[in-house]
Amino acid sequence: MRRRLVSALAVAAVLVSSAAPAAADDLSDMLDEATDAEYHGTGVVMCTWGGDSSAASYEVTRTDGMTMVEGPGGSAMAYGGVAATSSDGGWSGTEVSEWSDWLLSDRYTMGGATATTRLGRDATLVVVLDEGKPRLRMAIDDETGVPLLTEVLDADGGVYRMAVLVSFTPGPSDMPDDMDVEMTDTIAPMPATTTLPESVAGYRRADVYAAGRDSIHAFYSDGLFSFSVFESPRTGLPAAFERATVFEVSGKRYRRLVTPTSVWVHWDAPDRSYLLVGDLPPDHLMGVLQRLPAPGQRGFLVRLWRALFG
Amino acid sequence: MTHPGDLLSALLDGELTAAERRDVHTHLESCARCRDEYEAVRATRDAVRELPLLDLPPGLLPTPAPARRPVLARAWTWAAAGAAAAALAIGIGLATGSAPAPMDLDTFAEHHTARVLVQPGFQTVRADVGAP
Repeated sequence: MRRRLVSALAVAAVLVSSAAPAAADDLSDMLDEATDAEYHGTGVVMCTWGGDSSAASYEVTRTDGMTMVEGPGGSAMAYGGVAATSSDGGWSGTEVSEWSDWLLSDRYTMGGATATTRLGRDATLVVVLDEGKPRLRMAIDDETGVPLLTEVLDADGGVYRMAVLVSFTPGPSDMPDDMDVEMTDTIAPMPATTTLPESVAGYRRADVYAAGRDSIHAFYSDGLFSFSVFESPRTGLPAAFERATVFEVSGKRYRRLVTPTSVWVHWDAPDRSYLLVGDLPPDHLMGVLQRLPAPGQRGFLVRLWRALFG
Repeated sequence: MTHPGDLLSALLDGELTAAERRDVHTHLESCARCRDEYEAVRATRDAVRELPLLDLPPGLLPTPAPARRPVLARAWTWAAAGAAAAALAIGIGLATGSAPAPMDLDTFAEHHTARVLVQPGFQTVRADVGAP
């Protein structure tokens, strides 16, 4: 009940403040509130970037602090620090031992807000500004604070990603009670020995983890979007990227794969291979890539050296 | 495309995708300078690979101390032995050196998904519903 009351107050604050951009604190409260609501929904998410486009339907359920998302590639569930995925009926779990607090970048402010209806429910259409330009349009359910429609905008104002719920039921839902999760991995923080920057293009390096024997996983977030960078010893091109779209940033070549919810980018620097995966929009991604280690080929002598000494 | 530069040695090492191989070959057909560079890189690479791995010319390795050999001759013998050892090492390195295994995308996807899922605060959709 308390959550609902706070949610209603937050939406009321949006309505009252529609004449002028609201403070970042109000926006932070509103976005944070949406993640606490209990509900079940069915939706469609689609993403378009140039000639790459991808779409999928999904179901999302949140009850008692447990979140479950089911899509065509399988299911994912989170409860506390445990995340489990299932693609063939069995569940494998990964425990995240530590993670940083969620912080919303102060480059985001709340723009206009207008009353609307969505799925037959009272809702508020909210625009989130990114340094004064529209970045996010959301239709937020007045009762629960859950976004029923989310549109992520690229720098030119076009819709880059859209997630829309086509059915929505507020309140707790039944979760599967026969989940047998086999814990297979633990994501443990490691001292920040990576050369990956602490902040990049407005994104904060929230956590650094070990990923396998000799890879590093750096997780970045600006509170609205997030991405992971995996840094590994230089390796061959992953098979999934053989037919990926090649694109250039500042004259450097990268390969990308677009899924409904994420973009995956791979590149090789002279000594390291990198994989970035996240939900950030293209113009943010370009800025990020410009500030991460750049792609490059090893020269012949370096190849000899690596062949000899690793 | 611009001059491929280090892509030439990557081409020889079989590290390019089919599209990149096609681009480089197309460029080579029209660029004499890059053809020369490609041939030079290939010749160097072939020369290194063809260095003797096992059959060292007799007399290059140091033998038990012959009495009173001239200092200069002894130095040349050691230099030749060093060069042969380096060539052997390079040959072995090229013959046996293998690239590390490609990135394990499944594991990385699980790590990213797990981290995103446990993150409090806002996300458009709280999981990647379509990893490649």
